[in-house]
Amino acid sequence: MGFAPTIFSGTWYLQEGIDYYKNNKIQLKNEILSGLTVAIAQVPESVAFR
Amino acid sequence: MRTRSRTIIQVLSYPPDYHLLTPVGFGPSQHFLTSRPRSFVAGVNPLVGLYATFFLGLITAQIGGRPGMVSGAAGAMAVVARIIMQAEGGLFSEDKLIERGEIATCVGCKSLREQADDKRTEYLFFVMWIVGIMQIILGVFQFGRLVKLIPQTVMTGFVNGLATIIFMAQLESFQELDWLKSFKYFDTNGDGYLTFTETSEVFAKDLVSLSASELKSEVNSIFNETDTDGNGLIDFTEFKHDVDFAIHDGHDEHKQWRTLDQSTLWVMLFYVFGSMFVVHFFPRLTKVVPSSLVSIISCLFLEHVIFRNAGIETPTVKDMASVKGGLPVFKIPDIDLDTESFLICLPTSISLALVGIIESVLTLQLVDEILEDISDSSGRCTQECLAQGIANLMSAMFQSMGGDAMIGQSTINVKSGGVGR
Repeated sequence: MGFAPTIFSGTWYLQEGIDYYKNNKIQLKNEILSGLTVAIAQVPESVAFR
Repeated sequence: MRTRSRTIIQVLSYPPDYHLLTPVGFGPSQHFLTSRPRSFVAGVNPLVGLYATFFLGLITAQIGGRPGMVSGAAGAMAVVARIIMQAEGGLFSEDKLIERGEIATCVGCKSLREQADDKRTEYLFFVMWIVGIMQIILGVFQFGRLVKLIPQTVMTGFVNGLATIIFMAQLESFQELDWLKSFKYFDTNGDGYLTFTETSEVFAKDLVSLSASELKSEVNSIFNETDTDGNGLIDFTEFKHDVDFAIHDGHDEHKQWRTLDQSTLWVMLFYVFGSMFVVHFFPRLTKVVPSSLVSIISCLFLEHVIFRNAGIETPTVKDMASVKGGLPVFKIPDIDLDTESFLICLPTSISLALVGIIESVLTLQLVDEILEDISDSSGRCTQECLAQGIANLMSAMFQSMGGDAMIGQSTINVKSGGVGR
């Protein structure tokens, strides 16, 4: 079916994620900065429903 | 075909959603411009949107069909949900609610207008319950796969229409409160001062449930707050001194366009085009930091360190709404549920469920194409439908409005390097 793995896929998924970011610290930095960017941008997006 | 579809989707979704509009919102204190399209849903507590973003974002990030996608209180849903929250011409106008016996005047009650607003919000939560359940059912029946059958031209029209609505709604940010018009709403004799009687007449229309003494007490407290020089009259300066004064409750909705002689307008335009410039050209210098983040920080710096100190202030989130509040709590919608109310809500629920799924699957396909992921997406589309349904249901249970995947935010995220869970 081609489902994407999730945290419910098993402990291997968590372990694989940890190993991946251990070996790709630049990618980890990119993920964090990208998340920060989107999180900030989401605030005005969300409150404007009033 | 694949190349063509990629081009169409990206061309149509990028200019309004990414290159043009998103940087606008990256203004100083998150200058609320990206969020304008959502303001169609007037009357919803800002926290309702924040809660929705929390639930949608967290749940779909964990179990959604595509890592890197961002979900939240999205504009496409807001545009449809608008019909529930509209005071006039909506599904639950004040008259309809009175007719259904859901609101009534009584001593000590809120005004009918406030009661109607509250009831409409409850109906919004109820609709989101239905939407969540529908999306889960559609997910189980693998509706997401069917989205692929929708002709490319329809998809193009969908994204294009959404982009147009978002663009038009963004223009609202270049409007400001028309204080004079609001003042004249009270100042019926046009002498430039609001008397106790004039103010009482306006509030008597809204607070019909109040007795004469209660109304007098209410207007007295309004005068104590607004009449700062204590001369028993409210002049124009006192009237517009603070937007949070109770006198403005529901009576300050008149807007006018900002004019070219206002420095605020020029600063806002500077942020708009400056942000676009940074987002577009900064990656040519370095990709160490996402250009969108650089744009946000630059505008924040300019606003709070330079322009505000020079006496030029642009609107911020704080000016839009207070977001103070506690954690969401579980609550069953407080409505009179019967066949009639269910049938009133059903068509909007179906529209919301479909719009949410179509935008989510479309976003999934777009992110796939940006990341050049050519793996079969059928299962992931189904997974995304289920995730959206669960997230919307959870969201509704905790008194927040729903949402779906956001094309613009997802694009920013993956282009900034956020491709994992």
